[in-house]
This record gives sequence, C-alpha cells and structure tokens, in this order.
Amino acid sequence: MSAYLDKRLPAEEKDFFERHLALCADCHAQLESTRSMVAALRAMPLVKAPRSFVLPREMAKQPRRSFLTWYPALRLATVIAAMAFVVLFASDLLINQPGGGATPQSLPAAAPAPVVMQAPESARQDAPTEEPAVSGASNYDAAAPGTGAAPSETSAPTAKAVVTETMAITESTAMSMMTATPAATAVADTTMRAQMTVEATSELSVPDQQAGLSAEQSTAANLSETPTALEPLRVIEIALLALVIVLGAATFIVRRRQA
Amino acid sequence: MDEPALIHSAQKGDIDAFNRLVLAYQHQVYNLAYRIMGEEASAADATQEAFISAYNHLKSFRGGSFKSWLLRIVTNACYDDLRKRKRRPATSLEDLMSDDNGENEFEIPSNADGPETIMQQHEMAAMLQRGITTLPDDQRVVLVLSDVQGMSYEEIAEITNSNLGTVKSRLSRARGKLREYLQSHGELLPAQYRLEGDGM
Repeated sequence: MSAYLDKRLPAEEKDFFERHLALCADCHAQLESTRSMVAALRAMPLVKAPRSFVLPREMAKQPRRSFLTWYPALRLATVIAAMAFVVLFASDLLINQPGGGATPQSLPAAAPAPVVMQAPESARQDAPTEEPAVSGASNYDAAAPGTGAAPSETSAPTAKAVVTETMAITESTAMSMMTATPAATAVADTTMRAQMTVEATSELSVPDQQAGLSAEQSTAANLSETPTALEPLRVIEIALLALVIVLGAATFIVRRRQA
Repeated sequence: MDEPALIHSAQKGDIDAFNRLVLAYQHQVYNLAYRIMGEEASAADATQEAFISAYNHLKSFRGGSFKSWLLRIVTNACYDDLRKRKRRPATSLEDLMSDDNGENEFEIPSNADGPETIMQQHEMAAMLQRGITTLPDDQRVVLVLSDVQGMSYEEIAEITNSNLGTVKSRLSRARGKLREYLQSHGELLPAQYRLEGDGM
C-alpha cells in the first residue's frame, strides 16, 4: 500500500492491488487515511533554526592540520615495520623449514645432512688408497649429527684448536644473526665450506684432514649452539611485532580522531 | 551561489566558503534534525555536529548532491544522539517532549492563511511530531526523509546507507504505525484533520 501510494509498485502488482481495492472497503479506507496522513506530513511547517551554525575559524581548522601531518608518517612507519617483520619472520621460517632431524626448529639442523650424505661417498671412493682419511672421515660422519664424539679420534692439541675455532665461528654466526638479514646465507656458506673441506680432507693428507675436521666440527658445534644463537633473532622478531602493533594502533587512533 | 566552486574552496580549507554553504543549507539540515529528534536543543546539537563533521570530512566528498551528503551526515549525527539517549534513559524523549509539548515557537507560517487555519495546522503538526517520535529510529528517519522532506526512495537509500527494499519496508511500517497513532489520538484534532477510520 505504501509503495502504491508512492507509485513505486511494479505494473502487475499495481493492477492486482487496484483490483483488490475495488473490492475491499477496509483497504480502500486505509489507503485514503494514509494518503491524508502523508499529505499532512508534507504540509508540516518549516521550523526556523534557533541560531546560525556557521563555524568559528579556530574551531574547525586546528584538527585538520595536526592530524593530516601525523597520519601519513605513522602509516608509512607502520608499513615499513610490518614489512621488516614479515621479511625477518619469513626468512626465519625458510631457515627452519628443511630440518626434520633431532632438532627440527634449530637453525642448522639441515646442515649435517649433506655432510653426512656426501662425505661417506667420497670416503668410500678413496678407501683403497688412503686408509687414515677414510677412518677419520667416516668416524666423524657417524658422530656429526649427534653430540660430537669425533674429537676423541683426534689428538689433544688438535681438539683445543678445534674448540677455539668452533667458538669463533659460532660467535660470527651469532653476530650475523644479530644483523638479522642474511642469516640463511651465512649458515649456507658455513655448510658449503664444511662440505668442501670434508671432500678435500678425504683426498689429501692427515694435516688437511684435521683442518677439514675442525671446519666440519665447527658445523657440528653450531648444532649444539643453535638454540642460544637463535635467541637474538627471536627477540628482534618479537620487538618488531610489538612495534608493528603499537604503530598500527597509533595510526588507527589518529585516523579515527581525524575522522 | 556557485556551489561547486564553494565546495572546491572549502576543500582547500577556506572556511568562509564553507560557511556560505552552511548558511545555504542550515535550515534544511536543522529541520531534518528537528523532525527526527523531536526537540530543539538536540536538533541544534546534531546540526552543529554535522557541519563540523562535514567540514572535517570535506575531502571525502566526491561530487554528487552536496545536500544529500549533508543530510546523510546529520542523519548519522541524529542516530548517534538517539543511541546515547538510550544508554542514558534519565533524559528520555518523553521528558524532553513534555517540555515543549512537541510544539515550537519558532515555526515559520507556511502561507498567508488565517489565524485559525494556522492554529489547526500547528496542532496537526504537533500531533504528527509526537507520533513520529514514538516510531523506532530506523522507521522514523525514513518517514521523515520521505514524507516530511519529500525525498525519493533512492535518495533515502543513499542517505541511510541501505537498499531500496529496506527503505520501502521501513516506510510502510512507519506509515502504518503513525496512522494507528493518529487514529488513536484523533479526538485531539480538529474534525477536518482526523483520519478516516478513527471512529469519528
């Protein structure tokens, strides 16, 4: 009925309603009373505004300036912080992804795998000619993924040198993680160097083998040092996430105030 | 008044240009607020809030009808005020209405009718206003926009941010309720203003 009164009924519904109106006195009366009411509403007099609503200059200009200057800067900072967090978090995930060994979440968990896979192959090839290299390499391969029983095969001075070098490399790895950018590259480089040295060790003489051992052991030591080396990365991730949340909230509030 | 030029200047921060727009539309904006809110003080507050908000959001105006844009803002301001009232029932609509009995001393005579006719129109308008304030918020807004302001369904849909079907159904329900209200209070009106079917 309301739509009919406003001439907004589709043609077929209009025809149907008009046929009904011709037969139904109640609907006809309702329609007429509604029509009268709408006419009365349209005839309601205009009300004079009690005062002028012109804006005072000081009142309207201040909020525009302050919020327009803050909002873009805050938004940009939020975006940059969020991107930095995403990049860092993604690289962290990528580093951890190929694991699956005893410590799936530790950074170089995948590193021993190629060492173990490749070193015995080269060792087996050289087995008939260079027995000491084979024994050294294969013993170490067995120990590499584990706790580091290999140093028992080497002499005491060599073990000390290995420990020193291991600590140095571990520190350098941790430092590279502190910078939080090429962590994956640094670890991959370390692993590559370790593999190359192991292969070289199996072909060369005993001193070289010791050097190889020390390099490879540094990788193994990295394994045991991984949890502590990863802490700065986690701390940076959490700090960045907190920064993103704070900046995002500030941006949101400024935008709301601006609105 | 070169409205697009004034809007353009106001968008650049020229408050004098904006105030010329305020002067051009303030009566329409205030009247809409008054019919929705039902009393002067709340209508004036909503109108002022609407113009401040319009000035602060002027950059978001992308063309089209500036009047519809303003009416949409004041409608939202009225919605906000009505919601606040519901959260603070101490100052109920009925209390506010009883202060001025739904009448307004500032009403502008619509034409040069005689005093008796003006008085009868005044009584009818006061009755209608009281009936409007009994409607639910959504229905009240649509009825005022349609039947008091004379807007099309499309304009109302744009202002209330709803679709045509919603506008139609709200308007139909609002008219039905207001008709019932007028029929139940019809004895207060002069005979020629009573609706059919009110038992007279």
